[in-house]
Amino acid sequence: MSARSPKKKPRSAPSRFYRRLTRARRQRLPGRMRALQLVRRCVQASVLLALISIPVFSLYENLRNQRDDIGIEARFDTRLVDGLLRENPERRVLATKLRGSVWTLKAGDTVVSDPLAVVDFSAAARSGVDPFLLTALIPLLATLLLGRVFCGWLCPADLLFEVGSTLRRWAGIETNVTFSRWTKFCVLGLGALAGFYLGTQVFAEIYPPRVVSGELYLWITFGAGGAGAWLLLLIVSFEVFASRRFWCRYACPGGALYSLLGTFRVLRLKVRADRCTQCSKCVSACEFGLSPMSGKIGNECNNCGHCVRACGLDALTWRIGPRPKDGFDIIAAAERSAARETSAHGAKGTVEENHDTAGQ
Amino acid sequence: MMTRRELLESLKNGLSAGCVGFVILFGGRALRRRLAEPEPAPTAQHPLRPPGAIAEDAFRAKCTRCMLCGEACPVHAIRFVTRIAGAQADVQPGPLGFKREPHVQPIWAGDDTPYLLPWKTACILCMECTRVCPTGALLPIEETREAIAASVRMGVAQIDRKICLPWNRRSWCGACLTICPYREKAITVDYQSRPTVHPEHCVGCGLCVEICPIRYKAISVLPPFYPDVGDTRAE
Repeated sequence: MSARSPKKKPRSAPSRFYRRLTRARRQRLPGRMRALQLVRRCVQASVLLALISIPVFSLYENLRNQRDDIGIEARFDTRLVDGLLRENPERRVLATKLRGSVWTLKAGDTVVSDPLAVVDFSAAARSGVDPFLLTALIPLLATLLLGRVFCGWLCPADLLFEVGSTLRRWAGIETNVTFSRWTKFCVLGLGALAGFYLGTQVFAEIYPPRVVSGELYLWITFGAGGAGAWLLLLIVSFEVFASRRFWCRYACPGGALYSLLGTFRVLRLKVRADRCTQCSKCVSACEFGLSPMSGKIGNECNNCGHCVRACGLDALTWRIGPRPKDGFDIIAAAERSAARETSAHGAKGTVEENHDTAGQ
Repeated sequence: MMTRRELLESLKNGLSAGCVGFVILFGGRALRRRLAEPEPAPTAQHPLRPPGAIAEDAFRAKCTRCMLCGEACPVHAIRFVTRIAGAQADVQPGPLGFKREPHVQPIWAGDDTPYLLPWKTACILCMECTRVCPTGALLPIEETREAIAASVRMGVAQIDRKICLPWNRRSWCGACLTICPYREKAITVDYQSRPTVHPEHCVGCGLCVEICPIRYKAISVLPPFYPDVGDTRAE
């Protein structure tokens, strides 16, 4: 029975995990920005949870009332939710005070609706003045300030499409059909025209966030969905097999509207040219095929933060401020390397890049 | 910071874009008025709409498909036109597979607008859906007997005397009379309990359809445009 050899082992190379850890510490990764990604995932998850729980609680409330009042047998097992909500006086709040979806949300007496719903409504009802138009005020302000923030943070379909994108990456599918990004503006204009002449709201049929919320409601309440599920399946399969994030980049009327509204957004991406080594990790990380490294972002950016996360050198970050003076600057490589040299000499040179549609 | 010139430039760009958008969105309206084309009569077939629904064309234009009315409905009577040509599955059952001349929804109807199927679940006239509608596709109606009688006209009940029990001397019935919220006005029965509908008082809730003991439903609610019953819809 020999004890462990007291001989001291030669010092081995540090484990991969340790190396990662130290490298992260050394480079002072943008911790807050990574936390932002986590926050974004949490927001998306809670939106999805709300979209599921609102119909569930509504159904529960109605069936429970039926069960309590006339003693009929409920088709939905209310005892499940009974356990969750026992002794909760605020039980009715979710079921009666909060209704709707990301398309039109009704909290108490306040209605908040998507700006696209308002455009759709105006076109189809052929009226420019209606109290319904005021309901889009809060999202409109948010979009003016933050750009396509709805797309990256609140859209339930974005989650679905990101899953598709991940599947695509795992499967190693290289086929990527690209279109002009103006296609979606055409979809917006033609859809509004079609709504105007048909007298019906067309965006509501094809806008994935509404379709997802509607389908969730229908499946939960009636146990059967509609044509929207097929539409989503079609889009996701096309994205997985043929074109990366096709809908958001080329076809979404909502994305087009928010891009237009977000022209003068104040939340912008900042490239610190002194730190950038042009590894183009951010470019391949960008779901929308934009180029954060060279500043070719435009209004398409949905603030998803994938590029910020991908950058291991802390060269990308967010900033809040107006559009830069020169509007659509794409910093030349020479200027970039000059900035890097100055920073190598100790100067903390920070070059902000910005991005607008006009440059592309 | 933006210089004044740039500010003016951007203002100009924004204004011109807005003008173009406005013309695209609303320009056809003036054109339409100029042409003075008479609006076609609302004869298009449509499913039964929830209470308080405005005229069908305006309803389809104003409904934003938010499904708030369905969430508000305590009995889940409000369904949504979800399947392309899915109406075939929703048609009231009858001896030959479907009821005589049902309100078959047209093929474009898979548009998630709300509708009712009284033979499955009838409206209980709580008027909850009219209160939640954010766009005014359903106009709010007070929850009183008189207000509902005055402004709700979802459809009109129609009795099929060929299969109605009392009309065929099969039995005494009167179920539709018993459940009708406007009994003795909208539905009356004679000394043999043979029911008659009075369209001017019928609100079209469909409770009589739901309660009808005949499997193929001797009574059914037809949308008010239906030629047999005449268009008595408000607006």
